[in-house]
Amino acid sequence: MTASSAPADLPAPVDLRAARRASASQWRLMWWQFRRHRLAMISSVVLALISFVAIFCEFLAPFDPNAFTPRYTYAPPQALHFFDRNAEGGLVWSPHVNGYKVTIEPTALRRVFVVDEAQKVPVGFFVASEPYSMWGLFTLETKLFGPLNKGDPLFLLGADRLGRDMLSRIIYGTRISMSIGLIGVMLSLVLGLVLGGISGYYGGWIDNIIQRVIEFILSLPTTPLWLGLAAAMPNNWPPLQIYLCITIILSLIGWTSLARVIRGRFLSLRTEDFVTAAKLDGASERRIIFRHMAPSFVSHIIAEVSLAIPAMILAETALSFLGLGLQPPIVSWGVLLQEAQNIRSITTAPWLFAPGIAVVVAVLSLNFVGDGLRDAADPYRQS
Amino acid sequence: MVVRDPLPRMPDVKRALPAGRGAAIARIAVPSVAALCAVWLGVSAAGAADYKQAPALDALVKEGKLPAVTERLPKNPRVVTPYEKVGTYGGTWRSGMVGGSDRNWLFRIAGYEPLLAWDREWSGKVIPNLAESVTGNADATVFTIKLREGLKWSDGKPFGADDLGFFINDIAGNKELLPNGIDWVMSGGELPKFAKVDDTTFTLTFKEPYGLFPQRLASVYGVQAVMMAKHYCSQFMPAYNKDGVAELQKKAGVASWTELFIKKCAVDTEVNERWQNPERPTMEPWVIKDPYISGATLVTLVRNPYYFKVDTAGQQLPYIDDLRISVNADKQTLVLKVVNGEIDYQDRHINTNSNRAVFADALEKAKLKIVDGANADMNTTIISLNLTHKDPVKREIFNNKDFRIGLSYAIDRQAIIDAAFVGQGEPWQGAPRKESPFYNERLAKQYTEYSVAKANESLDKAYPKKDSAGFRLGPDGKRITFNVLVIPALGDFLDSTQLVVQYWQKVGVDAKMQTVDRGLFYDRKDNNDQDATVFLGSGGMVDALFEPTFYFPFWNESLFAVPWGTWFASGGKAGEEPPAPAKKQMDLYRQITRYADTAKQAELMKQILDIAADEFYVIGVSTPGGLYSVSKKNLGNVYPRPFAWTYPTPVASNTETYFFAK
Repeated sequence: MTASSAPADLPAPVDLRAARRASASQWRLMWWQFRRHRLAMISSVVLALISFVAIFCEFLAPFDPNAFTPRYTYAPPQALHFFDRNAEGGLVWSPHVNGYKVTIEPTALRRVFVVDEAQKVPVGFFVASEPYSMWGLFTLETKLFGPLNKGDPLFLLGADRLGRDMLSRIIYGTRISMSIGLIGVMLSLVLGLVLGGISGYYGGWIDNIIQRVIEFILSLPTTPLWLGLAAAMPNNWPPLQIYLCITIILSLIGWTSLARVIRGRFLSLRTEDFVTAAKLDGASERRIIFRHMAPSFVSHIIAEVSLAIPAMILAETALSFLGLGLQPPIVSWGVLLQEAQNIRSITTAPWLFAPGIAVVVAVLSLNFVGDGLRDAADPYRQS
Repeated sequence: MVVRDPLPRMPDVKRALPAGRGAAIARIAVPSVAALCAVWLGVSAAGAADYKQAPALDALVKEGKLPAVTERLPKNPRVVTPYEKVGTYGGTWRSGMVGGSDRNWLFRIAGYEPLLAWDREWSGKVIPNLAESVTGNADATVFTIKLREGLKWSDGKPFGADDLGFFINDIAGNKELLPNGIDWVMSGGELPKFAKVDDTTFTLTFKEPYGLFPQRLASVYGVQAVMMAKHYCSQFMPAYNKDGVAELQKKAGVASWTELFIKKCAVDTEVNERWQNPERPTMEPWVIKDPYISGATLVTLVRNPYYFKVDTAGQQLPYIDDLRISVNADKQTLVLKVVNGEIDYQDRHINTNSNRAVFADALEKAKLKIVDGANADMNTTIISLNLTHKDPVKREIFNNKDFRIGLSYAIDRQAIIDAAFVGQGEPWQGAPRKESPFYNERLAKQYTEYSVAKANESLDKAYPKKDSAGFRLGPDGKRITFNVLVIPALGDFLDSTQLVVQYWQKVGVDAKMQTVDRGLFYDRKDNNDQDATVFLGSGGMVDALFEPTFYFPFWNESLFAVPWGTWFASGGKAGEEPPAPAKKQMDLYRQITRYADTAKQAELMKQILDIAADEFYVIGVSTPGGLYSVSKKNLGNVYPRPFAWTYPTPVASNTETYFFAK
C-alpha cells in the first residue's frame, strides 16, 4: 500500500474555479458564459467576417457593382478551376475560369452561354483594376482578386439582367444592408432607454407626460405617415440620404414599445430591497441605475436589439414596395432580391437569389449571437 | 350575294366607288382648302337571307326568345374581312387583369366601337363603323353623320340619332355632370350644335374648323359618344325622370344624381364604372355579365346578340361565345398562368423583353404562339430635363442647349440597347418612327452618336469649371446636381435610365436616378417640382398628330415643360407663357386641327418637327423593339398589329373575328 490518498492533515483543496468565479467581474462572467454557447461563438465569427466585408467592400469586390457588360446579360456562374494541364499533361497551379461562347436565340430573345474550354481567363490575387475610390478618401487601383487581364469576364456568382457581376453586388450590398438598419435600431434603443428609464425611475408628472406622448405616437397610422413622408422629402436629396432620413424618422416612432418595457422594469425594480438598500447606503442615482438596476434588464434589451436588427433588414424590402425604401441604383440585399422577384429569374437564372443566402446567414447569425448574449447576460439563469 | 370588301387601299376617289355592285356606300368626305380630298370606302352588305348566327342563338330564336338574325342586324351590317380566314363559332377567351383598376384591358379587348374606326393596318385612314358616312363641309365646321340603318343596342332597342343628341346636349353639355364639357368633341372651346335630320342622320356644327374631328371619332376617345343609350341612361337624369331619380338614387345609395348617373352609365370611357353595370346596353361584341367590381376575382362577358358586324360569309360576329378575365394580384401570377396554358390571348402586363424567354420555353407545353407586332412608341426612354424649373439656376442650366447636346453625346446608346433591350432597337431621339408619315431624320438622329470627346466639348462650352471631385459647376459656382425621376413599375426604362446616369457621371455631370411611386411622380410633375423625368416616348406613328407630347409643349404630359403645355391646353388661361419658338409650334398645330387634308397636315407637322429639332427639348435613347402577344396556337385571326393606345390594341384589329380552330 502506498500513500495514494491525500493526507488527512492537509487543508481541503481550494476550488480555484469557484474562487475565480467569485472574484470575476460581471463582464468576465458574461464572457465565460458566452464562450460556452458554441453556435453563438461561430455566429460571432461569421458576423465579424460580414462586418469585414461591409467595411472593405470596395477592395474585396472584383468589379464595380454598377459596371455592366451588354454581352453577358444573365450569364450563369463560372466554375473556378485551380489547376491546369501543362504541355506534358501534368497538373500545374493556375487558377482560372473558362470563358463563354455567346449566341442570341432569336425567338426567345436571350443570350445562350456555352462554356468555351479553349478560352481561359486567368484569375489572381491583388490584380490591377479600374481606379476606384476607397471610402471616398483615396484612390486605389488594386482589387483583392479578379481577372489578371483587366476586362476579362469573371462571374463567380453569375451576372444579372444587365450583365453586372452578382458577387460584387452582394459584397457591396453587405455594406448598406448591415449599416443603415443599425442606425435606426441604435437610435430607437437610445431613445427607448433614456425616456423609458426616466419615466419609470422618477414616475410622477414626468412619467405622465412621457406616457401620453408615447400614446400619441402609437396612435399615428403608419402607412399614411410613410406616404406623407415620401411626399415631404426634398426631391433634390440623393436616394441614400432620403432612406437614411426615413429610417431615422421611423426609429423616432419605433422607440415607444421599448420605452414602455423599460419603464415597467424600472417600476418593478424601484421597489426591490436591493435598490432600497443601495439608496440607504447613499449610492448616487447613477450608480443605482447602472450598477444595480441595469444588469437585471440588459438581457431583455439585448434580445430586443438582436431581433430588431434582422427585422430592420427585412423591413427594408417592405419599405421599398411603397417606393420609400432603398431603390436602385443603390445596392442592398433587399434591392437585389426585389430585382429577382420574377418568373424569369426563377425559371432561367436562379443564381440571382444568392443575396437571399446572405440575408439568411446574416439574420441567423445575429439571432444566435443575440441568444448567446442574452443567456450570458441574464444573472438569474443558472446553467 | 357577298361582295368583297374593297378595303383597305382605295386612294382614288372615283375608283373607290363600288359602282354597280349595289352595295351600300359609306363615305367620309372632308373637303379641305387645297382640294376635295375625300376618302371613300365601300362596305357591302350580304344578302339578308344569307346571315348566319351562333348555334346558341339559333336555339333562342327557335324558342321565340330572340328575334331572327336578320331583324337583329342593321340593313347594311359592317362586313369585316377576317385577317386569316372565316372562322367558326364557339369557345371562351381567357385572359387576365392585374389589380382592381385595370379596366383598360377590358377596353382594349372588347370596348372599341366608335362611329368611325381606324383601319386594321393603322395607316391613319378612318373607316365607317357605326356610322355609314361622315361628311364635312369645305371649311370643316359642319359634319353630316349618317348612321347605319337598323342598329340596335344590346337590349334590342334601336340605336339612332337621338342617342347622339343625348350625348352632345344632355351629357357633354350638362354643366352639373361635366363642368368643363368634353375636350375631344369641342372646337374653339365650345361644343358643336346638334341638329337631327332624321332617325339615322344628324349634323354637328362647330364654332371653329375641326379638321381632325373624323380621326378623333376613330381614336379611343370617340367611344364615349356611343356609350350611353338614351332610353336607358335618361332615367337617371332629373331632366327626363323628375320624379323617379330620387327613388333610384336612394336604391343605389348615392348622394346626388350625377353620382348615380356615373355609377350606372360611366360617362367616361376609362373608368371602372363602365364595366360594373351589366344592365347598361352597349354596341360592343360582348356585354358584361359578372361585373368588374371591387373584390371580383373573375369578370365575364357574353355575346351581344344584336352586334352589327358580319364576316364575309355572312356569319354574325363575334365568333367567340364569351370572355373570362381573371383578376390577378400581380403580373407574375399572370405570367405563370400563361405558361400553364390557362390564358388564350394576352399581351398587356406580360410582353416584356425578359419574359420572352419564359414563354419561348413553354411554347410546346402550353400550346402557345408568339405573335410579333410593331411598337407604335417612338422611344424606350425619353429623358426630359425640366425647362421650366422653379429654381432659376437649374432652369438656366437645363435651358442651355449645349448642356443638353453634351448630355446626349455622352450616352452610349448601342451599349444600352444591347444590355437593357437585348439588342432590339436603334439609337433614337424623341422623334416619330421611320414607318411614320411624319418621320424627320434630323430630329430622330441628331446628337445620337456616342462620343465622350464631343460630349465634353459641348459641356465645356456650357460649364467648363469643375470641382475637386471632377463634377461640373453651374453658373452659381455650385456643383450641377439633379435627380432623374423614374417609375419602376412602368416599362423597361428603369434599366436604361440607370445606365444613362452612369454615362453622365463619367462626363462630370452629377445626375442621380430616383425611383418613385407613380402617384408621387404625377404629383411632382403636376406641381412642376421635378428636376428631370423619364417616360416612354409615345406618338411614334400617325398618333404624332394627335398627341405630339414630346414634340412641343402640348399638354401637361409634355414633361419637359409642363407649365408651357398647360398654357397651350388651357388656351392661355393657366400655366406659363412659353418662348417664341414653342408659340410658333402651337400656332402651326392650331392650323393643323383646322385642315382635314392629310398632305397639308403633314406639311404643317414637318414645320413643327423642324422647330422641335432646333429646340432639342428632350433626350431620347432608342426605338423600342417589337412587342408581342402570347396566344393559343389554335386562336385564329390574331393580327400582328402595332401596339398603341390611340389605336387600342388588340381590339382595333377586330378581336370579334378571333376564333378557335378545331
